[in-house]
Amino acid sequence: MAFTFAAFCYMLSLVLCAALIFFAIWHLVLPEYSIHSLFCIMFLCAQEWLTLGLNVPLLFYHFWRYFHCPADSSELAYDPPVVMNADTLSYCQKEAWCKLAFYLLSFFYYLYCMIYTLVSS
Amino acid sequence: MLITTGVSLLQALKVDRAMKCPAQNQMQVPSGYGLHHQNYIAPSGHYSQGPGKMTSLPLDTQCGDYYSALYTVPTQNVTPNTVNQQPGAQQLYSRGPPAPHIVGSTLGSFQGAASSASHLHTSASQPYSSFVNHYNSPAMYSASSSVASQGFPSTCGHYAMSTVSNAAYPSVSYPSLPAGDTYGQMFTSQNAPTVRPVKDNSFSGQNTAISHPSPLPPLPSQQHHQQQSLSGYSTLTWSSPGLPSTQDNLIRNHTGSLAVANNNPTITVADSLSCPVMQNVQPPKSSPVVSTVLSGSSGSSSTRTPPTANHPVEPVTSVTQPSELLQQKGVDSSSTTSSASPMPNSYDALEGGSYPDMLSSSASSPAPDPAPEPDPASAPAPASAPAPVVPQPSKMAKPFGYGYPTLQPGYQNATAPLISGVQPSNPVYSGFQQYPQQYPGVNQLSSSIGGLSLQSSPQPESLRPVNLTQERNILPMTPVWAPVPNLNADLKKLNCSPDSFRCTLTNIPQTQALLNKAKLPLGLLLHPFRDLTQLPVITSNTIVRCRSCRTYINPFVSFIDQRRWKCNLCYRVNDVPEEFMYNPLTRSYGEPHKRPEVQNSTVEFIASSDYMLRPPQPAVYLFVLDVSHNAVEAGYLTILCQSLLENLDKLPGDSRTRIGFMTFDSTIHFYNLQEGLSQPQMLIVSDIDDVFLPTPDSLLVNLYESKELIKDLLNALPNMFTNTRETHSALGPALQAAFKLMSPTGGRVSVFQTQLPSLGAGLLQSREDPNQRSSTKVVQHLGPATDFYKKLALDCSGQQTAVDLFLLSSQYSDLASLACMSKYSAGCIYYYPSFHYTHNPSQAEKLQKDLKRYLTRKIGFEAVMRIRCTKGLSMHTFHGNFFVRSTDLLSLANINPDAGFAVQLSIEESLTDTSLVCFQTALLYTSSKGERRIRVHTLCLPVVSSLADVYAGVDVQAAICLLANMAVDRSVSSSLSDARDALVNAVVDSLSAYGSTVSNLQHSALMAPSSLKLFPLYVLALLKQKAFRTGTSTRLDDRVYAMCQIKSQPLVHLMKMIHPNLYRIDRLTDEGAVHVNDRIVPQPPLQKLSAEKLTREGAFLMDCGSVFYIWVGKGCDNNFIEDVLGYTNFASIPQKMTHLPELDTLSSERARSFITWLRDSRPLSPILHIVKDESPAKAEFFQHLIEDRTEAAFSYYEFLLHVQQQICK
Repeated sequence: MAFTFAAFCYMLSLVLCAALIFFAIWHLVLPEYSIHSLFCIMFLCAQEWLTLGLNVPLLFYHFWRYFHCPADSSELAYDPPVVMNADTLSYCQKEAWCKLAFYLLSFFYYLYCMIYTLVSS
Repeated sequence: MLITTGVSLLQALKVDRAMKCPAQNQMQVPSGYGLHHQNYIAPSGHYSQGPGKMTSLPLDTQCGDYYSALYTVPTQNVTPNTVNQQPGAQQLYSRGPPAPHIVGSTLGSFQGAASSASHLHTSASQPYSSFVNHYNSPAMYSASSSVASQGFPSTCGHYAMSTVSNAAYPSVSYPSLPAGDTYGQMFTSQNAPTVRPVKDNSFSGQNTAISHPSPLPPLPSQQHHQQQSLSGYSTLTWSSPGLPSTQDNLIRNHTGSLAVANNNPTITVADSLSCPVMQNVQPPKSSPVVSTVLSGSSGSSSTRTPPTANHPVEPVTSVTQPSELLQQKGVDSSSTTSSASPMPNSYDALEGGSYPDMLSSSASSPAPDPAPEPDPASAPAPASAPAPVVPQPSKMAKPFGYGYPTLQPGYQNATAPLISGVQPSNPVYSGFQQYPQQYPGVNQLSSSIGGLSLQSSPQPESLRPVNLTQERNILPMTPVWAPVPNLNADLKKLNCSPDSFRCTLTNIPQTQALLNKAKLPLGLLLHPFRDLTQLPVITSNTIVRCRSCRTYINPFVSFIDQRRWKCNLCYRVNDVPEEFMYNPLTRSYGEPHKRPEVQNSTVEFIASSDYMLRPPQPAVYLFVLDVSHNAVEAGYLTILCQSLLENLDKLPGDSRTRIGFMTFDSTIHFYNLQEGLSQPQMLIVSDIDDVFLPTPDSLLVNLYESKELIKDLLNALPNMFTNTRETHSALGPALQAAFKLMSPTGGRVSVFQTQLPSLGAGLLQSREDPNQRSSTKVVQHLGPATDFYKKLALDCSGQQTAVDLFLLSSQYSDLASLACMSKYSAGCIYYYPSFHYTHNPSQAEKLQKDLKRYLTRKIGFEAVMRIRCTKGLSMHTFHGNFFVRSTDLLSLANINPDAGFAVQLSIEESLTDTSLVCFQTALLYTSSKGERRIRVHTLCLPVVSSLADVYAGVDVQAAICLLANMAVDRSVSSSLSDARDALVNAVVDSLSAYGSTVSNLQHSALMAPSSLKLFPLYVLALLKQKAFRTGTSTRLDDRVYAMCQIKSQPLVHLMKMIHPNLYRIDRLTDEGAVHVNDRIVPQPPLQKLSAEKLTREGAFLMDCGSVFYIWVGKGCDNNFIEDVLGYTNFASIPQKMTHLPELDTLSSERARSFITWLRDSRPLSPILHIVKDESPAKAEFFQHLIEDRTEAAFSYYEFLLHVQQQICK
């Protein structure tokens, strides 16, 4: 049992993942994106390929969202005039639900991985 | 004109800006104005003395103080208003005819629907129950009076007395109603009609009417407009063509009733008026910066008139006048109760949320079956009347169970004007004249009517299959009116006017699946703040609303018993408040169903303080003017200042009205107009990177206190910048400054811009490639280049400020980006391409006319609009200029009478357990008189379960307008070609769905139901519209402007833009003419938009909404040219001609009266272009001939073949 960098990564992501869950609920877009990219970089450094692989699709989605923002300024991920249109609104809601589920699952996955790395190494 | 110290001030300001206060710099540098540029650019040391002399004026505190100062001033009632108003009302009233029975009728019609009606009926000794829309009553009176006197004079004399004495309530004891009048009865239990012969006779009346050959008159002048407004009147005056004499009566009736209407709100005692007078408020004195002397006039005149709330209001169009009167009246007499409820903290809470917890909708429908009304007499009436919600006296006399040989009347309505061109001129009148005494109760009928369903008739007219490729003349000879919802008579009468509220499908499909099958767009088109001539204004302590969904009580709710009513949107059962039991109109108790709220589908409430987040704001107007070289060259300032000077007194507002001016080139110029100054001062801020307000409290000044200064400024402005060499335009910073200036109060900012903004925030580059103008491929740059304007607009919207843009440019100025400032702040956009005051006189004239309307039209401030609909339906996309605050709440910083909106709907839950759906728009706004008001429109539509019925109820014009809105969104978000494909697909899908499901005829032909037969034509027109056309050279700004108009115009104007009306005017005759205000207006038939209709021997008028063209053929009759145009022959007609001379010939008179009549029917006066056959300008005219083939687009027939091909694929 050793406290490796990987274990540290999992511990940190575990904590941050809890934060992400709330960000996904409250639509705090930028903190969410940055925290999620932080994980990914850390997993890359820790060479946790599987975990990284699981997160990469969402990472790319976030990049896509960020650079295809309806508003050309970065602080507005949602275009205020159209976000209340039912179509856009339902899309954003669905997106948020999916992310919520993803973060919940990954929370337990990180928990498991953390213990696993702690025990196995 | 000398500018002495102004120059130095600029620098002083710049230096001191950290202190946020201008200095009093007394540097004496007399210099000519033209010099100032050089001067202020030179920075010099001695300006630093500024701070020393400065009085410290922290900006923020002043802003904060604004309200407390403004609103805590002891309230002074605007009583002069009332006093002045009264004679006005009297005067109006006295215009009424002297005949006592008419007087009675006018009064009765307003003072109390029920009472007048029942008087009528008691004297006529006919059972008549109360649910007749009271607007009928004048009709009855006049009509009956023209036939036989029935003892009316006595009753009416009584009424007349009560008017003269100006009593709030007529002291008439309400005659008891027939026995069957219980509350639950409203829609259901009704007795059979008593008078048997009526049906035959009224039917024959209709027959004669139908065979009347005169063409259908489209909207006539304001007089007509008035008639349109609520209902019954329209029918009546429509009956005029053949009967000029009676029309007079009717019209007079109308005016008379208006006058009484004005008296109406006096009912309540005015106690606490919530509009304080601002005279006492002296905004904190700022440091007296005497900087730039603007004009030579010295000393502000001491003879300035004191501010009165009742400044002479002389509206542009007399359409607005009565409503304005009415408004004022309301202001004077109404009182709001100050309730102790805690102040809500958002508008959301104010206007009320949506359905928090809804009761189960298992309850049965509140109203009977929406079956068609089997009344032949009523059938042609709506066809001839613009308002289909027509309460006709003859309708009451309708028989039921009558055998109808031909068509379902409800559907006849929709299409009666379409096919034959035969004019059903005045069925009502003729029917009525013969049988003036038949008034069986309406109540008695609808239940029996309810039994009839649509299927009972073999095939409604609107479902008649039309072979599109075979039908050569698809366009009817007369304008197309909105179809009438297929409701029973009561509801039809009560329903909202289609001018304010229209749905693309007048029969709502039961499920989304059914809607999907029909492949038709479902949505609403709104014109909520339309100028109305009759509007019941209601002042009461409690505004009755559903407790769960906050719907306002409306004519379509059902009363379960005396004390309870059931909401028609969420089906919750609510209590009737005690106050509502009392009817102020009749002074009777226990008749909640007779309150005006329940008798009118368009009402206005005076809102109490519960509906305010802050005290109602004053009217605040800020003008932001481009004065760069380009702008001065174009010369718009002269026109604007002239217009403003003329209309200064007519600007809507009360004594608190404030006004301000800013100009900008590469710097921003403010004008201190503080009362007490001898001359306006110009303050120049050259720091455009971080704009600040030099003297925040003296830039927006009270219009009445500083009137002389304002006039001085307006007189001086046009000449102030004549020598400017500044070519840059710092629009962005100017707008930021405007926002700062307006944010404490909110109001209206009018921006005049003549070029691309080239400095500071929000600068734009030219994005248009002129070579791509006629490209058939991709059209780029339809969206904004920067978010600056959008963000600014959202900020403005948050501070209740709307930005209106007047773009007068000769070159590309990126309207796509600039328009955002108006789009999201609920402003409006005007565009004058290649504007020049001398080189382009027609544009100059247009600007002048537009400005007149713009400055004097009604305005509502800090408005929100919420649209509610029956449970099961949901809004999903909104179109128009506004900001969507929550899913059903539109935030409108300003609302103007020319703004239209569209909403897309979807059906979320099946509507099987209801037979009616209702839509309600509530517009909460602050009137220019500082009063919080709520205007509520309610529309009721039937639900159908079969596809055929859905097709039968299509309102093709509404559908086209909604599609156009959707296509604009699509072209911005996706691409223009996508949008065009989507438009074509809309036709293909709907026609193929119709062909495969409803029509069982041969599938080789292109069939459409009669209700949809104009659909392909209109879609083709859209494809050839500036907004969507490809292949024809279209400037990007023109295209974007057309898109903006599509999004923000109300349906009536938009339709003319999409599909203009073409008339032949060289042979106008009096056949079928209508009489309007003693003028005879000829009614030429509509021609289809094809060159095949143009003959060289003729002259044609094309009405495109905002512009008229008269095309004169080469071989045009010299008599016409001489008599109408005033030239001897074709060759001598000048190339540019924009007016018809006033010649004293019959044909000139006819042509002019026709054109005037067309003009009067719309708020913006269109410009007339006379186009000679050989002039280059004829391309302008010919591009509107949409049925013809162009090098880039299909002809109508080719388009049909294309559609057919697509269907067969």
